[in-house]
Amino acid sequence: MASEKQISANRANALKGRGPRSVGGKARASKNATRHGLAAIIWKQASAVSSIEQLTQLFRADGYSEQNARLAAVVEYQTKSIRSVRSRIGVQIFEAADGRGPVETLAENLRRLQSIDRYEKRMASLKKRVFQEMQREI
Amino acid sequence: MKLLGPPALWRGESRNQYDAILLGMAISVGARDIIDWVSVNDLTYHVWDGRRLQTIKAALILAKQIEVIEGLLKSTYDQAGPERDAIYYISGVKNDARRWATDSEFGSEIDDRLAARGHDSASILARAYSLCATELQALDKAIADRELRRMASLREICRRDEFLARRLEQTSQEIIDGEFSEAGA
Repeated sequence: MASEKQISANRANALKGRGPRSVGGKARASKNATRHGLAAIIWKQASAVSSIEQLTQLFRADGYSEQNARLAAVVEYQTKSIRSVRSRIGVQIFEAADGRGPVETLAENLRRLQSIDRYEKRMASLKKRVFQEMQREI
Repeated sequence: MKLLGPPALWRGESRNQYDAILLGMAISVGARDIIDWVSVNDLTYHVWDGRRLQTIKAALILAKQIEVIEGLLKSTYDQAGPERDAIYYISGVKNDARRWATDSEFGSEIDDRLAARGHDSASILARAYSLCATELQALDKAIADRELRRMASLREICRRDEFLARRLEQTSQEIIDGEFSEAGA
């Protein structure tokens, strides 16, 4: 067990910490709290913006309004993101269940799968509403 | 179909197989526009993911059965069977338990050996289930959730068809009304 002197020295040293200083370190640390990225602001990602733009054009091509087409594109993009995360977790669950991966991760990954369920529910509900709105406009 | 983008597949899963299901469903419901295609893609995904979850469940139960069989082979002895050396109980049982899962003939032999020691296949399965009860419960919930999503997608497609049917009915009624009013005038 650490002595009082050691504890106070550790605390003093901890106070000297200034966090990451390099650009790379700051970029990495900025993602420390990221679990799956599904709650992230998608407009900050260039690839998301371009995918959403393409999907918007698809909906627009079928005669839907710009506003609804864009909303539907965002929902579809988010749905795909959720499925990608589900897929990544699914592979880990399968490998753990199959004995190829660490068994300890099985319960944890099943919990993760359940925890992203709310994102999927939200998107499904939003998609339903947007599509109903779109059907009314045609 | 390509415009919908690549589906989120696992390593080793076939894109062609996924696309074949998607195309089959799209043709069966007569997908016309992007909304139909997205809805059918959702349905395909739910079917696909449900199948994955069932595969995981089967793999988990099998892995636990192997674990149980390995344990039983290690801890019990054949009364009238051949003498086995210590090496067998260290590494041989592991191989035998794994072979039980892949070689049906050998599997039957192991089943008979274990049955003779009082452990029939039903009790082995029950032990395997009890080893992963929590995980199975979570998987069953995930499977049930996926089924609910699939049903919701189906309802959406049906609702869309009903909507179209109503529009068709309304339009035809308008035409009939228009004809009568023209005839009356």
